[in-house]
Amino acid sequence: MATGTVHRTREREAADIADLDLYVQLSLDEPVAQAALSALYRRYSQRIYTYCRKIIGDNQIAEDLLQETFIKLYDSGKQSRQIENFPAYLMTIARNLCLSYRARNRKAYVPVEDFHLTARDVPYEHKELLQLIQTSLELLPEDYREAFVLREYNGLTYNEISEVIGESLDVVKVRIFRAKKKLRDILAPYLSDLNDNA
Amino acid sequence: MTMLERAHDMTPLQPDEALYAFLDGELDVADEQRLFDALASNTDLRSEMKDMLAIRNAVHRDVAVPSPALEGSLLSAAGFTSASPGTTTFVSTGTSSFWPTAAAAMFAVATILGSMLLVSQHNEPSVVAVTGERPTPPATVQIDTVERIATPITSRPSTEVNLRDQLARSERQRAELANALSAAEATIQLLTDDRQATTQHIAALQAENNALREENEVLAGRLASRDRVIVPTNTADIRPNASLGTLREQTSAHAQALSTAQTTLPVTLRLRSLASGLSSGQAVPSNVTEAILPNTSVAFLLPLAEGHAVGLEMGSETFRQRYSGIVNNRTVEYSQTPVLFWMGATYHLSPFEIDIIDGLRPYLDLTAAYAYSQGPLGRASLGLRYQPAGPIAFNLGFDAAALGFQHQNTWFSSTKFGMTYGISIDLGSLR
Repeated sequence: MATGTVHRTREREAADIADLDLYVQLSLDEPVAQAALSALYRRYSQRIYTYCRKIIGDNQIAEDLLQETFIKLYDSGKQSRQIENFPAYLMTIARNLCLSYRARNRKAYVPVEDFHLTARDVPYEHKELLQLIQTSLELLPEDYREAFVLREYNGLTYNEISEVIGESLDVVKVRIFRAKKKLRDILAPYLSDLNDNA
Repeated sequence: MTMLERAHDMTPLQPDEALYAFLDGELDVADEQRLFDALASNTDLRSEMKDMLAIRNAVHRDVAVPSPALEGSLLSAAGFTSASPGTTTFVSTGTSSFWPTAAAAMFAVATILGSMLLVSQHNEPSVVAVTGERPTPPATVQIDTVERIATPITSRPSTEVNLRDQLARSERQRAELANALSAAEATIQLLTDDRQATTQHIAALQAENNALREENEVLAGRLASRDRVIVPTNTADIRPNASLGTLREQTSAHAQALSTAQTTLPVTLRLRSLASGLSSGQAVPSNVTEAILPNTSVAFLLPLAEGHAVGLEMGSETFRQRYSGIVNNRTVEYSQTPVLFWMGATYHLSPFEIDIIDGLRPYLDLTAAYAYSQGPLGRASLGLRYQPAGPIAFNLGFDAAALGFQHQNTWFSSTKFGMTYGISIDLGSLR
C-alpha cells in the first residue's frame, strides 16, 4: 500500500516537470527514473504511436517500435546525453527506428499520379473519410507522407520537422505543400460529394 | 518584407501556398490580409480551403492510443523491477466482488455522462480553422459515438439549420444516455442476482461442511473407541470455515490416515496349532506326549500393506518319517515320529473382508523354514480369520506341511495335513 502511494506521488510530481528535467532524471535512482520514464511515456506515447502507425501501417509493429523508442530514450538518458529539443529528439529516435524497419521490410506503392479516387468508389458516409485519408496517405511517396504525418498528426512546426528529418526548412515546406496537394487531388471527388451533401 | 513578398521576389508564393502555410500557422501576419483578399475573390481557393479543413478535421479525429499494457511492458523491458503501469487490479472473492464492481459500473455511467456533457460543450463550431492556430494533437481519446461537427470556413446557411443540428445532436446524446443508463441498470440487476445466488451457495456449502465435519468426528470416535488406535490426525485440524473442497480433502486424508493406522500396526503376535499328522486311531508316541506344546507355532508379523504382512515364525511339531537305509548290505526300513523345532519366514495374506459377518476375512499363510537336524520345511494354511472387536483375532483353517530330510545321503520327504487354529494379537494397539 505504501509503495503504491509513493508511486502515485512520484507520478503526480513528475507530471508537473518539464520534459528535459524528466529526461535528466532518467539517469537517477530507479524509482525516480521509473517515474520519469513513465511520465514521458504518457506525454508522448500517443504521438509516437500515431507516427509509427501512419508510417508503418501496422498497429502491432507500431507498438513494438513505440516501445523500442522509449527503451532507446531511457538508454540515452542513462548515459546523460545532452539534448535541447526533447520532442524533436524523441521523434528522431522513432523516425530512425521506423526508417530502419521500413528498409528491412520495403513495400511497393502505386505511384500517386496514376491513382484517383472517384465518387463511385467510396461510400458517402462522412466517417469513412478517415479510411480514405489513410488509403491516400499510403499512396504518397514516403518523404511526403512523413512530412504530412509529422505536421498534421504530430503537430510539429516546420522548424521541428526540419530538425527531425534533417532537411532544410524549404524542403519541409515543399514536401508538406505537395503532400497536401496530392491528398486533396486524390480525395477531391469524394470531398466534393461530401460538401454537396452537407 | 513579408513572407508573401519574399516569395514573390524570390520564389513566387502562390495563393494556395499561402493558404497552406496559413492553415499550418506558418504564414506571417502581414501576409494574412492578402490571403483573405484572395479568398474573397477566388471561389476555387475557398473550395480548396474547405477541402483542406475537412481533411484536417478528419485527421484530428483519427486518434489511436497504444494498448495500456504496453507501459508496463516498457518498464519491465527497461529493467524496472517494480513496474507500475498505473492500472488498478481488483482481486475479488465471493461476495466482496459485488460492491467494487457495482461502484465501477456506476463510475462508468458517471464518466459517460460527464464525457457527453463535455463533448456537447465543445461541439460548438470551432474557430481554430479560421484563426490559423497551430493544430495540437488531442491529449485524450475522443468519444467516437459523439460526432464532432467540422466547421467549414464558410458559415452555415442559417440559424435554423444550426438549431436543427443542435437538436439532432441533443436527441442522439439523450438516446445514448438512455442506453447507457439502461445498460448500467441491467448490470446492477445482474450483480444483485449474482450476489443472492452466491449467498445461497455459501449457505449450502456451510451446511455440507458441518455435515462432513460431524461425519468425520463420528468416524474418528468410532475407530478410536473400537481399536484404541492412536489417530495420527486430529479432527480439530478441520476448520469449520474451510471450503467444501478443502474439507473434502481433509476428510479424505483423515480417513486415509485412520485406515493406515488400522493396517499398519507395528507387530502382530500369532499363536496357532499345527496339523499333527497322526490319525485318530494311531497311538501317540511318548516323545510327543512328553513334549511341551507340540504342534504349535508362534509368529511375529509386520504389516506391509493393506492385508499383507510378513514375519518370523518358529514352532515345534511332529512329523511321521518313513525312510530306508542300508545296514550290513541289507535294506532297512525306518519309521519314527520326532518332535522337531523349526524357524523361518512367514507371509500372511488377508485380502478382503467378507460381507456376511463384520470382521471376518479369509487368509492364507505361507511359511518357509528350516527344521534343526532335519531339513527344509514348507507350510501353507488356508482359512478364515475373525476379528470381532479389539486387537484379538481368531484363525481357523486347513494346514498342509512338507519336510525334507536326509539319511545316508539320500533325500526323503514327509507330508502331513490337518486343521489349524489359533489367535492373533495386534500388539501395537495395546500401547
